[in-house]
Amino acid sequence: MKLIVKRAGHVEQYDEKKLYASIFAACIAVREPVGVSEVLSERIVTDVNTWIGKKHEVTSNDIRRIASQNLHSYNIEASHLYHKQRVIY
Amino acid sequence: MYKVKHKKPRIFNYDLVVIGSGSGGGVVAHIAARAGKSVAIVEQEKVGGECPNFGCVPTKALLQSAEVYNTIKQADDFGIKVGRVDVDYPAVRDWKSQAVNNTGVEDGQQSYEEDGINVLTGHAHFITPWVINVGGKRVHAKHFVIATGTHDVVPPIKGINDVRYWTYRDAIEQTKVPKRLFVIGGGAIGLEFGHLFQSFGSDVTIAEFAPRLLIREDEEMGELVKAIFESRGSEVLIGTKVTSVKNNTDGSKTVVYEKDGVAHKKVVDEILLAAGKAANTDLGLENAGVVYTQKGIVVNEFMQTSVKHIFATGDVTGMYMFTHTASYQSRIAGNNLLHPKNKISADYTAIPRCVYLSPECAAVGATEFELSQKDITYKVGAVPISMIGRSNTSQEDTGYVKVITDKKGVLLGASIVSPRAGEMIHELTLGIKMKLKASDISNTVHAFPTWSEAVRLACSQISN
Repeated sequence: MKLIVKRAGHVEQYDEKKLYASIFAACIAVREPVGVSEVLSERIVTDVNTWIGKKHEVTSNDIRRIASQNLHSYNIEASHLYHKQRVIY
Repeated sequence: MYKVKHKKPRIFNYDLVVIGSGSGGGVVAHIAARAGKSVAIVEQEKVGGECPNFGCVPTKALLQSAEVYNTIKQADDFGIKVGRVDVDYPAVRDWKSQAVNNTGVEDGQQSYEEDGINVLTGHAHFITPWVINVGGKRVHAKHFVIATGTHDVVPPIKGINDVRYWTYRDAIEQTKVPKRLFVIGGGAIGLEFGHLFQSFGSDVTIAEFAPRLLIREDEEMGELVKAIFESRGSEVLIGTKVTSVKNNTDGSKTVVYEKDGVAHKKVVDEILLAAGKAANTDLGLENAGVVYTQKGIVVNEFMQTSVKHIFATGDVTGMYMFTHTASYQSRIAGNNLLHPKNKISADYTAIPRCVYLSPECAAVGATEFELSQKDITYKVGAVPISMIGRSNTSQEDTGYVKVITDKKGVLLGASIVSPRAGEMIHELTLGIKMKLKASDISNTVHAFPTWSEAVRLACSQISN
């Protein structure tokens, strides 16, 4: 079980669907087509899952940083927007 | 970098948690434990870290086998008749494993436990500046030392991820000498393995992107090493960029490289990747507020990171990636942890640097390039080793000793290519550390016939 430490300090279980939704929302917001947004979101979730690997507990800041770093190479605008969102991993 | 605002906990599991059990971490852990502190050390791989398990120790053991083999092959020159000499490479590897076991790494955990140090297994990840998670458990500590070392850099070469290439960790475990070996990288690691496999009969090609081998050292060292490799039948490609690699159906590999704007192809059996190392910084350092760059974790002269209670030592700091520097930094961190009001600072003016080829290469202090970049006036004294008696009695005449001083003759740097250069460099290391003049060394009697006489002669060039 992977745990995420949120900004306020509480801990919740890592939910990749939540991450997917955040990335997808950022991609759609910068007018990426739906299909591309889906592909990018899946790819970023895979990248983050690989990064988490054997780590048991990471912070929401970690997820935000790693996801936006990876998204940056595909869509800078979406990466920037995702990074600025408040309610994300 | 995220701003970190966390409350310092009131209760801690340990006074000190060291992340990484190599030279950078092990020394400080023992120092703190022997001073009565509660200490834990975190290791996600083998206890003892890189040097005894995968780095210095196994490579030097393998190179010793190569030296013995080369010496036997030259026996006839010294009036010794030997029969056919065969290499049993699986036995060479067994010898390497024995040398690794002799270091005691297998009992490494026990040596920590005897000092009351808890060994925690797993990956460490900072949650806050005082809390890490290791293997699913949170650990609170007053101080941390990060000594996580480095990993191999994989350059952007087309097809590299589809080809089964060797790193130094694979190279030490081989039971067969490859017929054709392509080494990517002309630094210490690439050259030592190039020399090893060349000695045992591989057809070795070394490709280096920089304009010469051993780019951090003065020009003549890289030039001479290149000439030595070439004289033994290896191909050395400098200023060369490997652009793509691919598997062939017969198990061989094709390497495509670009030199002087022209693309070339080479078919080889194995590829050794030795293109540099990068600091292991994937530790949630952002959550602790620890500043790092691409080079490594930023530390001050006291080995403290940007967060005062977190120290970093060894290769992860990106400075002089040697075992001896790591243990030196670890001692500095140990002192400064225990005596915050009486801190000592690290001094890198006399750190010896060795490459274990045949002959050995060693250097210390400033290079001519560094001094000229800083506009410092300097003097150079240099002699070929062929000038000294030992060269005659050993039938070894390839090499030199060079010393660099300021205009008053105070030693600033030195470089040596010679048999036993790794031993000879320490006289000059001490000289630089103690700010001795070249004349102090040239006026010191050196035994005849030793290789160190070349050090005295090089210094006398300055005195004269």
